Amino acid sequence: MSLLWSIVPTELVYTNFYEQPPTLVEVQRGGVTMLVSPEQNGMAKMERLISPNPQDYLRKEWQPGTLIHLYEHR
Amino acid sequence: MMDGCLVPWGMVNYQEIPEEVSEQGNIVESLKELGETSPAQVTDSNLFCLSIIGQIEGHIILPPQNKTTKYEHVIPQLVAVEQNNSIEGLLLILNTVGGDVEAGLAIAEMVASLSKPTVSLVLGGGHSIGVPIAVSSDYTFITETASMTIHPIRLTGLVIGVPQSFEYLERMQERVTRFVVSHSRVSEGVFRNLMLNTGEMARDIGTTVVGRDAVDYGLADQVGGLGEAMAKLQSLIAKH
Repeated sequence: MSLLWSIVPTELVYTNFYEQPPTLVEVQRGGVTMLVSPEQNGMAKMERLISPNPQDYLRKEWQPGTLIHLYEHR
Repeated sequence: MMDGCLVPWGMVNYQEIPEEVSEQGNIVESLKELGETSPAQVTDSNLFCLSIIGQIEGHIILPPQNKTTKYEHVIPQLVAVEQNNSIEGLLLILNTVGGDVEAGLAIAEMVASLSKPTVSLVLGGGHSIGVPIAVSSDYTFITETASMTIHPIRLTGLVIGVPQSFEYLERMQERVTRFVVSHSRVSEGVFRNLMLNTGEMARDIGTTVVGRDAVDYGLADQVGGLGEAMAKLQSLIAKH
């Protein structure tokens, strides 16, 4: 069970809770998987990194919220 | 471009920028493309600064009006801090309104069990589940104006069995209380009294503890800001 313990009233935290959540797309970059939400102009906002290497979580270009190119340049 | 000639920013010819500037190509690129400077490289510093801001997000993704700290990113970061030889200490900066109890406790346990020196600094607020995170470090600073709100955990949503829910909440509370008591100087009795105080808050029972009071109750070790926190962390690293 998820239990919220906060000074912010629950009704404020959960406003818009039932609105459509962003569609997440799974992409591979440098051998790791990341979940991104597509934005305009072929960019995508990094939402979640999935990697077995803890050092990947310190890479500045892979922090949540960073914009990445949705399509890899070949 | 002539020497000593003032050129408007928009007209700077990048090819004429001296070598040391073009070496920072990534920063210039990031400035041009995203309008922001790059964050400091982790490897340049022997400290890792982790900021816990907004709501601590747990198993449920919170709606976008919330600023959140995502535990699924923070936890492996702490593993990396433990593993990375160039990082010698952790500075935890808190300005949080609380959040998911188990995600918060998970972060607190990770920080508490980190073998490297850790110092936390409560700025603004370290409320609710922010309290166990604040005390999880080796040494806790709170700024003069920062506050910590200690209040009971509440159950929201559908409640089927009232006695069972009450017991569940009691157990949750017990986990938090035990953690705070064992990682700070506050006694269980004092912490419970702060939590169940009825005279302080309009919307809830509990207590808001500001700056020096947090030190007097034993929740924080010292009143101080960034300079003091950094100096303490460096001295802990030297002793480590």
